[in-house]
Amino acid sequence: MRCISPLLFLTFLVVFLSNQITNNLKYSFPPLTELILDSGKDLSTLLFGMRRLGADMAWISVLQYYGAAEAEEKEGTEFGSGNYPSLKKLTLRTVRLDPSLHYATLYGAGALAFNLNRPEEAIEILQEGISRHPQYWKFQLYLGAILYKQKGKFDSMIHLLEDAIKYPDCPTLIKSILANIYKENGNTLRSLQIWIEVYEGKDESYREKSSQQIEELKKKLKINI
Amino acid sequence: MIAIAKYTFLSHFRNRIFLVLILFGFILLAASLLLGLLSQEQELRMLIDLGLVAIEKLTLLTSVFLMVNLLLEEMESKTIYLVLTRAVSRGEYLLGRFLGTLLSTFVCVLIMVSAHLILLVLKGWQFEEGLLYFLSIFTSFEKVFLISSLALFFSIFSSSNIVALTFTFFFWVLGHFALELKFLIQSVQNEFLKFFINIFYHLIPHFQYLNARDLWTLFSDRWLSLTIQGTLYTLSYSALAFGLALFVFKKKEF
Repeated sequence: MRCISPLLFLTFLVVFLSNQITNNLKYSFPPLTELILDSGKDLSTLLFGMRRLGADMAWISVLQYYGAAEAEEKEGTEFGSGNYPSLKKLTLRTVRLDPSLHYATLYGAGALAFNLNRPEEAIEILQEGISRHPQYWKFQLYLGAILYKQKGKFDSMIHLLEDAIKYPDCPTLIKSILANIYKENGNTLRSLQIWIEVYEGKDESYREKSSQQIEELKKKLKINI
Repeated sequence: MIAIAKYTFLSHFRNRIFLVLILFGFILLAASLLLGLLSQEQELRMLIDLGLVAIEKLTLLTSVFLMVNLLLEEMESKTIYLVLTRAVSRGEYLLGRFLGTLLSTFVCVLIMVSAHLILLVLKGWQFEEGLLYFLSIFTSFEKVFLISSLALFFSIFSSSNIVALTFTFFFWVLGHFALELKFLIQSVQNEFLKFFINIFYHLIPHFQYLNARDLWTLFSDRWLSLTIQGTLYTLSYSALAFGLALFVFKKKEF
């Protein structure tokens, strides 16, 4: 009995603390039923407590999917301008594993709205992000830009995108989209400035493309530097 | 007890720990090369996440395997008699062995963290969210501490390393799935079954709540209260598992 009493006391203490932790901690992840599971791979990351790493791996698969050329894509087509029908699903798979990976939401929504011209899907992704993290105001900023695009208010859209690219966590994809919009609208100088910013940025995957764009725009502006 | 802990620490370090450290070094190097190519602007986040997971899992494997074989090997080779016939109580012996193993695991963690930090700094990390990084390491060690005490209990209770390992890993997985059990409780209609699952829910270790790495956002807001609660929980659960192990160990006849 002398041995049993401390064990019983510890058992009650464990149950009490477990109850306290459960009540105090509001678990913010989507439930299992909402997850888009990829053949048990994602489930195993949950089972072993590696949710964040699972989201990282899912994110890499988004980049590989969107970075690879589609079968029907013709030579000379702009990067990422195919159909990519699974982009929304893959982005949601990533952000449902880890909703704090805001970069994935911004990237997926930006690509869908401005590159693939599917703003409805982009809005769905952003609305899900807003419902989970309403305090992260950059989602609202992107949503505003997409809504302006839908309504054909391009000046307002450009104004919001200019705001978006000021922040260090803005995906390079968005910068390249804005640079292309300026190029199409004839604002070659601003387009060049943004491409130079992209070239000097951290994302090495854009180095070659930005270098080509800079050369092209310099010729257009007749700048010899 | 301190002498036993010191002997255990040194013997572990001489024999096995360095293999784990070499493995960790290879994982880090391979990951840094691969992720640099694949992850574009999220390289640092991925390096941090992969490093934290690698540190935790390698520590887990090292600690659980060491803990499970800690007494079983000595029981099989009968060397345990030599110690227990001296003026050392079973409690002191068990505590010394347990703490020595945990200490060697802890030193292993410190070496891995140092290597990881060097890599992160070389890649340009300026300790943004540094507190959360160290909290993740701390709570990972708490999880390993807790599961190690359970592994010790299972190894003494079952006297078989296969059975002990199976139970330990089953509890590890179950502990990360506690939230789904809670979800199940809410959806069950039968009151008796609900009560039974509820008791089970509170008795399994809640590793998911000690997972600062995954609960990064939650910990950034309330890190102090969550860490204190988690630490109290780890200490009381580990004390319970160790107490049970000691209870069985005292009753055991060699």
